[in-house]
Amino acid sequence: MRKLLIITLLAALACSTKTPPVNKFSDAVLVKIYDLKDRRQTDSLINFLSSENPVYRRETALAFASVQDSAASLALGTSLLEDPDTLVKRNAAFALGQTGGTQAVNALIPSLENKERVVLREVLEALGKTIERNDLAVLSQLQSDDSLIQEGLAAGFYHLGVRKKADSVVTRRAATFLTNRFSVKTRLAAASYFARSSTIEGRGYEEKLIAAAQQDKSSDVRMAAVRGFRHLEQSEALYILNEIIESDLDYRVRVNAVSAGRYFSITEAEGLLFKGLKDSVEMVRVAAAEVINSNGEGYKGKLLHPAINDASSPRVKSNLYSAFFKTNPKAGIVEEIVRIYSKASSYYKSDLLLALGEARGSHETNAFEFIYGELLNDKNDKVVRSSAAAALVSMNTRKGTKIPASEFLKIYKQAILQSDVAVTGIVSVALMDKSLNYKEEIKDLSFLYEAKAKLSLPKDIESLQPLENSIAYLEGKDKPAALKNDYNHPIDWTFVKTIPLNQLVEIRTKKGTIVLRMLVAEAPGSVANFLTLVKQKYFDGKFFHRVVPNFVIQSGCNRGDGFGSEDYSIRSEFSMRRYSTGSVGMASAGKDTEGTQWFITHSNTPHLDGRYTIFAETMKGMNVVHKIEVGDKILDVTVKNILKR
Amino acid sequence: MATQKRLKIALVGKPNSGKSSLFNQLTGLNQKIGNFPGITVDKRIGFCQLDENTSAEIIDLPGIYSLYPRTLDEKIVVEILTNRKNENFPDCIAVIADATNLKNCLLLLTQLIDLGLPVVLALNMMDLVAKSGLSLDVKKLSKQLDIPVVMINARQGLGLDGLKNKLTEQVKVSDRKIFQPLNEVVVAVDEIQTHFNLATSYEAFQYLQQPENLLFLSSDDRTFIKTVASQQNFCPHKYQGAETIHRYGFIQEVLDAVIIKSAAQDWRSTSRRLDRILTHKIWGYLIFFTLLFVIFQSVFALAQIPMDAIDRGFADLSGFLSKRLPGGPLFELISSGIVPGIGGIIIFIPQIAILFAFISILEETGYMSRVVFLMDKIMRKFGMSGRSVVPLISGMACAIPAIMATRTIDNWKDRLITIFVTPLMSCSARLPVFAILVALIVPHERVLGFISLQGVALMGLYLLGFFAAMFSALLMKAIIKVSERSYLIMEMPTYRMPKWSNVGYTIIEKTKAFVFEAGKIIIAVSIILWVLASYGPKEVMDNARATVQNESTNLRLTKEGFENKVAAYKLEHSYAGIMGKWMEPVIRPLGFDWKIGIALITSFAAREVFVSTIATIYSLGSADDNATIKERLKDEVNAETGGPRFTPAVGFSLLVFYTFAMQCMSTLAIVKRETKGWKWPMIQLIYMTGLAYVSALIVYQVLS
Repeated sequence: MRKLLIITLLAALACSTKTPPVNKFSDAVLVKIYDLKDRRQTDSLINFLSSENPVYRRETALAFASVQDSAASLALGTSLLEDPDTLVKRNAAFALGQTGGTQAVNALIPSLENKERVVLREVLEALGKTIERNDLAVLSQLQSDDSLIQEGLAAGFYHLGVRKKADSVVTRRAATFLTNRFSVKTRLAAASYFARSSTIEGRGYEEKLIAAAQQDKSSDVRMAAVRGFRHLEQSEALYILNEIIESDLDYRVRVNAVSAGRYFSITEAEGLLFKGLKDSVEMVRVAAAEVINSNGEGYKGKLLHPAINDASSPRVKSNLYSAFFKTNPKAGIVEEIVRIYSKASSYYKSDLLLALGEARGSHETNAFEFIYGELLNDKNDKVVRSSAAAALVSMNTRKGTKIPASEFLKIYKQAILQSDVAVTGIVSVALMDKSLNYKEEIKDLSFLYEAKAKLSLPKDIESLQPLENSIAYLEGKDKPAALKNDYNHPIDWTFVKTIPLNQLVEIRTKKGTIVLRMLVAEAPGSVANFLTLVKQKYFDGKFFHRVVPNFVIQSGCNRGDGFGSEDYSIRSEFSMRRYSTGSVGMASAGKDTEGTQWFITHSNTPHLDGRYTIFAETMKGMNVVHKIEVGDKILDVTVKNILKR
Repeated sequence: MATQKRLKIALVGKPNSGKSSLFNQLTGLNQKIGNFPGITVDKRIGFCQLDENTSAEIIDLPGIYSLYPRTLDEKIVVEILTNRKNENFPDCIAVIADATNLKNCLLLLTQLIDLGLPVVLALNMMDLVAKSGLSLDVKKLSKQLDIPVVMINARQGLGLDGLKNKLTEQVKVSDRKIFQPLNEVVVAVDEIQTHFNLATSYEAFQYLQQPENLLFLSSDDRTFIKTVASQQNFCPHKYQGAETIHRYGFIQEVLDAVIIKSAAQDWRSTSRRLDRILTHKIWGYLIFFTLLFVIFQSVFALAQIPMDAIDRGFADLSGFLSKRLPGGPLFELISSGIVPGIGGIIIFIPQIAILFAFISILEETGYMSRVVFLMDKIMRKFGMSGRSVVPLISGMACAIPAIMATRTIDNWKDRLITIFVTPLMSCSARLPVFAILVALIVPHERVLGFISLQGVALMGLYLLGFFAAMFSALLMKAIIKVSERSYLIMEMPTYRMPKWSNVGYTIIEKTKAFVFEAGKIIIAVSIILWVLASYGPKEVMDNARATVQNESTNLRLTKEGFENKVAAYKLEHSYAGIMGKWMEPVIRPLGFDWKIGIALITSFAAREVFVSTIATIYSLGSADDNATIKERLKDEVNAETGGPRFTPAVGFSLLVFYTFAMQCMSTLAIVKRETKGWKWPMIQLIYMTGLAYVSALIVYQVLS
């Protein structure tokens, strides 16, 4: 026994003296490929598509899924049609789908003749991302008895739906895929078609959608199906949603049931929403309160007022206050809100400010003065001030407000000159609102230019973009091209080479610990960035500033309101991994604008696939993720030493 | 009279584009079937009068998607179209395209244009186009491609005159150059073009791209191409993808220009509504199996009526001839060898006709694609395709039409496995053998009052055949490594009424193919078998009568009994008899004696001959009465043991042997025709006989 121990120790020693590779980036060529990908250098990268080594070709094809340069489409198409290696073809199909364009379609359509199921699956999904309505039959007429192909078809239908390219034939096919004899992934993609299409052509899917929402074994499918209920006839949908809110054991399905209520008249959905407000899980209550708030205008029911007193949390309460303003213009609750406000935390304050933004009638002026006071008070927390700005903008844009636009404009000018990036961004959006007609009011743009001078790329892209847009609007020019961050943050490859596969990271919160598994092989740049920040203790003490029921919890913002960033940005790194429960992604304001913010998903979110980097997966602590609320603090984030094989 | 001009015209197009319909329409019954050398594809050639002065030889080439072939069938097309010296090289090509799905049909067309071949584009299925609301500017299409374009409806024979007119005119070569070899390969292409003196650079490009598929190239040619390729850094096949993408780009542009109105979304709704029932997970199968049952019943029972008539007719003819013709071996050959031999061929025609009527209706209506959809997943596990189901089930009636029906399976390996295992399905010819042996060894009793033991045994034999077929399919699948799956994804054709004349043509074509190709072999083998069973060493046969007389002086035989004895004696001493005795050591471990050995040899003509041979050898005369034969067999004593000859062990051994053995020369003949060679029928013969031998051996040894 002791002998064995010694041997193990010796072996460990031997390992430590000459460190064996811990990930694939010990291969210099791979580093080259990934670096070219990071630099978005299509010309050089393309050469690796004809490398002798299939592994390099696979990685290169995949790299183009992130580069998304149509200059590579011909080469990728050639790989898709000709490469002897199955996975090169599969990756090429994925990359073409990500890139889009006619050349991609011209390669994808002939590759339907391919006989490898893994390739075909990807080709079908890519076609869904790329084809136009004229070519719809290419996808909608295909039949297969192979589960993987069916999955590809369903995924293709999903993308067609999202892109508004689907027709009644696709609807009928998607509905068929909802039935039990198809695989979970097929059913999920089909249900997502109904969940994520803004409109659905054709009929005849209703029964199957309802069956899937109530009976599917997979809660992911039920969630998506429930989300699709907005396409159903109101009384039928609400009847079933009322059953689901009472019976489904997965709170996320209940969240979606409540959220689906948004698409129906609040008078009819009253039962559903107030049941949601009494749910045992906070997320369901929040979702219900938000729907009541957003649909509250003109609601005449009697349930709202008592519900405010019973409200379980600040977030619920703020939403109900907001709704109360909408239902009852005479409601004298401004003072009550202000009283609570004085003792509230920053995040509670920001919710209450948004509620005050809905005050109307005789209370409007009171609320207005209170809000702009909070906005201009530079002792206030950033979170509070950006919410105050948002509340003002919402007041400003509401029809029927009694406060003249010029009053708002005065405040806006002062606020912008205080040069808070978030405030600048939020206000800029209001300035280019055509209905407010600030074009006539503002003759002197100097305050905007002054604000602009203080913003810089890549840090402030999220504020700079709307600011530039609104300057262009006010000057009567065309909308400027979307801003792009230049390459500014090379990947530290020496560091990447030391990151073991599946490196674990622990996030401690008061509610428990979340363990993440880093995916260095798939997203080396994002993982290296994240781990560097962890080592700098960057995330310690930061808040979860954004929690959307059954969607994501988000953190990593240095301001706490979501507008924070550092003076660098990193690249998007897309792989074929799909967002499921507990995927960890990089937040961004468009491709290649990622920085320090990240999020964890509550459930499947297909609309993020291929658009947001996934750099980690939640290993442990999903129960904690489900409990996290806005304002929960990260105690610390630490890299866990994992045993080296 | 003006001199007749004779044109060679090739029909080219994707599978299911309506090529065969057009061929039938153009040539009527004026067609013949030949072979392409070294390949299992029928070469269909027909003749057609284009106008007063021009006739055409029309060749229906196998369906093809692009000039880069993936199957043997496709290779033959490329081989012909790239070789101007090929005997089948056409003067003009008619490309048939499904107008409802033009995008996929035009790739090949653009390649043919680049090869500099005179092409006419025939847009087929114009009726469906009208139905779908699609509207095309045909003149513009013709202009864009710089080739004549005609609209046809091959099923109804509409627009054929237009097509014929275009074909009669000197079709000029299109001026379009759609795909130009990339700059980096121009030098190599030029060099090849000059060396081989080729008309177009694309032809030279093909030489470089796929020399291995252009079989007409000599080894010197190949070496030259290889040298040029390596000098100029030309990697064969490297540019295929880029070419395809480029062509699709071109096609997209053309279509954007010529499509005036796209098809309505839901024009296939009737079809789809039908599909909801016909491909339903329960109803779909139910309907399909009902249909299979009807087909089986028709091939099995309905065909029986004409078959009996043919059988009787030929028996009468044979009897009539043997009475009327003068004696002598030649006339005997005619009356007892050739005439029954021809009868043995003709007798299959009803089954073939009926099965192919059904199959071509299934194909014509579009239902066959649904069968594939329903059955493919299951059948693929056994290395077969969804289309194998109809042949397999038909095999339970008769393997001959069943094997011919495998033609509908497009994947060669799937088809081969189906051909290989179909004869294991118990066919109707086994039934007489089964009936008599089961009656002999299985007690006529009932279990639980209603289950007949004999019935159970009979069913067991059918199941045994079925399982052997499935097992063999698995074995074959493992051996020939069916890696590629024949069907993953497909587009369902719309349902349509069958075109009855096409059904007729199919029946005629299949019948002709059987009679003239398999028929030769069947006649030859039946004559040999007849000789073996009728002749023996001269003096023994000559003295047969006397010998029998001598031996049976004490037996007081009737005249008929005496004749039967003579016949038995003659058979015993015929060459077949000698072979049977000579075989005895081999078949003894199975429990068979020489008498059974003789029956094994003669029943190679057809399994049911076993019964008549047994009747003869046991001096029973006519084999009509099963009960008599059964009684006689029961009484037969085993000389060695003193017990009955046909113990259950022997009976079961024989049953198992007949279940598995390839005791049918007609099947072998048809397999030879369908696989275009003796390799597969021989492998099948050896495999099945081996399987039968080993199984029978085990059964006998275990039971006795």
